[in-house]
Amino acid sequence: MFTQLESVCRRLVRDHYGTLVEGVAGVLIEKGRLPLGQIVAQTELPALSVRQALAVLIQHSHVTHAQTKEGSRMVTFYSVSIRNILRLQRSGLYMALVEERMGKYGLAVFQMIMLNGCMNISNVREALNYSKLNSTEKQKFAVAVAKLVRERFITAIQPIDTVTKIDRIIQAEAQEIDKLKSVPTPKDLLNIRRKIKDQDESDYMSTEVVGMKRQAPSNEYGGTPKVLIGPDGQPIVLGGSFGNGIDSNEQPPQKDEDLVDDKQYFRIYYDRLDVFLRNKQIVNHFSAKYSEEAGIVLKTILRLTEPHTKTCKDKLSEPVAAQQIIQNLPPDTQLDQAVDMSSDRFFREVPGATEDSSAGRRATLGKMAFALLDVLRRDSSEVVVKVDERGSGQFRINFERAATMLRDECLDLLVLNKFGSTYSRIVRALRDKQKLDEKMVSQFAMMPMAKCRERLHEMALAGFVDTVEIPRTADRNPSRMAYLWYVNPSKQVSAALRACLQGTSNIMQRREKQLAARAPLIAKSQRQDIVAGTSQLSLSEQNALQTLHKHKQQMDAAIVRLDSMLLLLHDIVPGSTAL
Amino acid sequence: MEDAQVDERLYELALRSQAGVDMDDIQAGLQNAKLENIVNAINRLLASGKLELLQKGNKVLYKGVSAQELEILGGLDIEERLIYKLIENSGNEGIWIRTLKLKSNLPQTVVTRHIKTLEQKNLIKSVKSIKFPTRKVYMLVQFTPSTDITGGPWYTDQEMDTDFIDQLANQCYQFIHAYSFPRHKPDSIYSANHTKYPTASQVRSFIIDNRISNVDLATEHIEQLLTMLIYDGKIEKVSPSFDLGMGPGSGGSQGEWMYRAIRISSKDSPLTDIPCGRCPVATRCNDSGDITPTTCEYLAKWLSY
Repeated sequence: MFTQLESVCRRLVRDHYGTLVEGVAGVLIEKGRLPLGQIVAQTELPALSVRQALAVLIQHSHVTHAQTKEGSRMVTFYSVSIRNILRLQRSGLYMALVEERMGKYGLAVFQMIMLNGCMNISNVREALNYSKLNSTEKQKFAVAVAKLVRERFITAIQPIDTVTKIDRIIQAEAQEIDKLKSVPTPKDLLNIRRKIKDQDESDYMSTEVVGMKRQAPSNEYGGTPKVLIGPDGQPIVLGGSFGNGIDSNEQPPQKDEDLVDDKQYFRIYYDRLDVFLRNKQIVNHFSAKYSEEAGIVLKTILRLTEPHTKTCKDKLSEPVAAQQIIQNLPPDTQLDQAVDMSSDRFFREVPGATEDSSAGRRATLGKMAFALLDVLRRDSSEVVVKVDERGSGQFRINFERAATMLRDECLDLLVLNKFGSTYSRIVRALRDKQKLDEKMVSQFAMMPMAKCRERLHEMALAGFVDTVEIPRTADRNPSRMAYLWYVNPSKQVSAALRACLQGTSNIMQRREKQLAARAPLIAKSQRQDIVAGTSQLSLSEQNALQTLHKHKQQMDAAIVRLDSMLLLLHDIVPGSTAL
Repeated sequence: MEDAQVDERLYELALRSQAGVDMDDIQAGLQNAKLENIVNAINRLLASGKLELLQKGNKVLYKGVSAQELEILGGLDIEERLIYKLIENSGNEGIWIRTLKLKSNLPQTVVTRHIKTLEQKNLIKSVKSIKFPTRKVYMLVQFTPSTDITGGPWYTDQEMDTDFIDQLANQCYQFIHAYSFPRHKPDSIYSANHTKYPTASQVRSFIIDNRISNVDLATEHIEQLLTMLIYDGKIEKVSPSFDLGMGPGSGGSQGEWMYRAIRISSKDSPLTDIPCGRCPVATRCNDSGDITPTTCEYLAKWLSY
């Protein structure tokens, strides 16, 4: 764990829940898994306050608990989820995402659940004055809730969710051992652990949406076209031979509005929301590299795979047929000028593709979409993979490669901006060639050896490159040792994350200081008479407030941007462990 | 056959062969001469410096010394001649003074003295090697140092000419960029089967035709430059098309890697956007103490910008 992590998490908890909760969370972050007694002792707070703070943290999924037998009594241990605490700084992005895809009713429900940690829908209705809405608004509200649940933006809370995962596994293991009649052999233990792991994986892979009164629509694509609501609120056509360009005003069948169980408690499914943020980053990358149109095609693929992608742990997406991608392109998509086919000798003009007729326009759109798919498929990153050559082919996204690509891009950008272009050249050469001696690095980077050595050592100090010793003799004498330079991605990520967390912590500290220095003015500006405009602030006060507001905005934006680095470097990597 | 005749014919025979002649060749060439006369003639020629002895395995070879060379070597004593010969044999790779000492079995001071004499007579020159910057290697004045010593076209006076490299790389990038996107539709892209992206040899032709560089550059030098551009993130390699020889653009680039420019985004790293990302005292920054974010001047400047 990074030392800066504690400071960042403490500040985030303080900003969102106050100092009391911060004290409890801080102890759990610093000391790890603790029982209530020890938390009380460490925080020096009354036991009731600690219990209340823990309840808040459990309610917001920041703390999990587990009971363990210690002698004759059962002790409850509490563990904190650092990842979930860090996600607090991403709440603005999540809300923007929900607003974009679910509309204002979806956002209102999402915001209410986010504010309270977990809620059932009847409570949400009550809090949002549902009874005062008219029938159309009520219907829209119900559709938004159903979409939030079906698309897993919010997920049903089960009792097991608040139990620490490792304890859950230990308990399951103990239960399985109890079933055995004799002392378990190593083979038995291995089988038990495998069984638990399989069960865990099958639970993860389950497509059942908890919290709905009946099953979500089948995801099998039949021969006839089927329209579903996509995660962004756009209709998705599955199967069949539907033409492109569904009228966006035409409402898809909305039969699911009353399907959500009112009594079921829901929480925000942050892991799922990170999928959308990651997908946005992938689209941005390809839009910048090729063109906006290539980004649109990739966005369509991702949109079609999103219902089947659960979290960023998924390494591959479900395959999507090329025809399906073309059918689901946004109706206003203009791809006529997207790809220059004049020099493509393998391209054959589609018969009857005239620009005037609608059939001709559809043929042109299909042709361009195919060309863009081909360009994406042949990109050196191999993120878009063609899995089936039959017909027009099927495509899937390799999320693992995409995560690596985005991580490397983020690191390269950091090296480029922090050190300079020659440094990033060296890093790229080392990443490509794996391990090189100084001479070879200087040859590939085309710079004098002395300069190259200087740069390598500078980056090694910052943790961006590393050396490996190759002994020439058995005595491993340093003077007879060859040193090869290489890039260690995990060390690079650690260095970048440390700097990123340090930066976040610094900005937060500065923001706190600036706000504290102007606290009387802020309090004054929030006075009812000032808000109502009955008494005016002086010019200097207005200027100070304006400057403070500008500074705060600047610092908030910097924190959100730094958090995007955390997302790219850590959160979207399929095999990433806890920070 | 008279001695003078034998000398003359033997000398001619030895001059004719670059690799030298052995006794069998001499006897075959001078069939009328007795072996005794041949041996005497060899000794006379060796004494006058017109012949030199070479050893190839167990065989002894005799090589003629040209009149021009004889004139040069004429003014040298035996040791100087030995040093000169060793330097000559090293060709355009040159020879290090320690190697000279080892091969000649002469003391260091003597070798140094003779080298100075040869340099004064403008027979040899010293060259700095880029492989071993602290070493001086010696070679005959008429030799051009090999690329291993000079470092090839990228080196000027044994120093890597980074300005030249950067300028040339920039020209290459501009050339590749011009062919990477459709001219009439700069925002669109070429299809995946586009085969007209420039290759290394086409870039080389562009540089030669436009006289961008006076240095003679081979295709591998251009490839080296393009690899550097790839590591700069400016261009990328495109796999050679499976060119079937169809159409007008099929010639010339079969099986060669193509290069296309990448659209460079002007994105900044979020970390370097804030002063902490480039702060020289970031490692000493703490919650308390002299260097702290609450009193940081860099942050103040950033906020007031």
